[in-house]
Amino acid sequence: MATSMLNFADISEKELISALKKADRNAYREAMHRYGGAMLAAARSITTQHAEDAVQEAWISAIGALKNFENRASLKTWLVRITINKAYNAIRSQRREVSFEGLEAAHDPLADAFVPGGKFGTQWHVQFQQWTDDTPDALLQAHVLQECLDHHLEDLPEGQRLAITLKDIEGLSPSEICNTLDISPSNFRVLLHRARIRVFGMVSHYEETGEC
Amino acid sequence: MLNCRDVGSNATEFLSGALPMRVNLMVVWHLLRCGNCRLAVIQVLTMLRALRRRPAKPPTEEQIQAWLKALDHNHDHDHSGHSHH
Repeated sequence: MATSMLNFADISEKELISALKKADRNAYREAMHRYGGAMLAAARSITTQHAEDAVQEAWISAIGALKNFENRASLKTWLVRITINKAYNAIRSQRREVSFEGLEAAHDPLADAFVPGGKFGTQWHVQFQQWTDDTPDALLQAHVLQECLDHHLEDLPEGQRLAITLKDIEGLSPSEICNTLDISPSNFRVLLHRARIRVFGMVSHYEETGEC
Repeated sequence: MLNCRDVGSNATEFLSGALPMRVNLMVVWHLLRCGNCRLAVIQVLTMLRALRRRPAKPPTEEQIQAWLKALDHNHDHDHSGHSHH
């Protein structure tokens, strides 16, 4: 493994990939710093217990396969995809399948959200208020909200957590997610919708009350 | 005509642009006439944009060291394997 004296913190992804292909140890370190967090988050959404091992195995596989990396996806997406496969293999090797309990009616966050009435016959149970932090950046800067989000994401039913983490946080395509998790597109849509509505309910509650 | 429950049930698909055109138009028509649903949809959209831009918690130095060590170990193992051939 080579070690360069270059400062990698400011180099582009293309330059980083080139250095990684030369087996530069500092490039490995920079890639781990840049993408390791996203890989850990993706692995934890599938298996908290085996997440660290899955990421370690993903790095070994990724470095071994770098010569085949063709820039069709970003390096981050490619690494996250490898990590998801490793994490999924880890739970399959334990003869455990991902639980899709989030599909059951009991996990529909909109089940009690409406009441009869209003000009359309059925209306929301609550009247939504304008958020104080009403831009994505303002929401991101609310640190208490971030901690609250972590807490609520952990509490989601497994299938819902997977769907929202892989699609809305890591940015994988629906077809990639369905193929990796071996679920139908319609079940994926239900899981994603319910996860989004639950997280929305949490953010909405936080914005109105300041409480998690 | 769609009611608020129909719009709530289709809100995230609507934002993904994944609804059939006819249903999509019905949602738009409802949103034009219903301030509460409009606010809900805008806030879901804001939340989704924030989630997408949310930076992952970076790995610790210990985690990076462990990964580098695993790569070293794998590298050594590969090379010792080759020398036997």
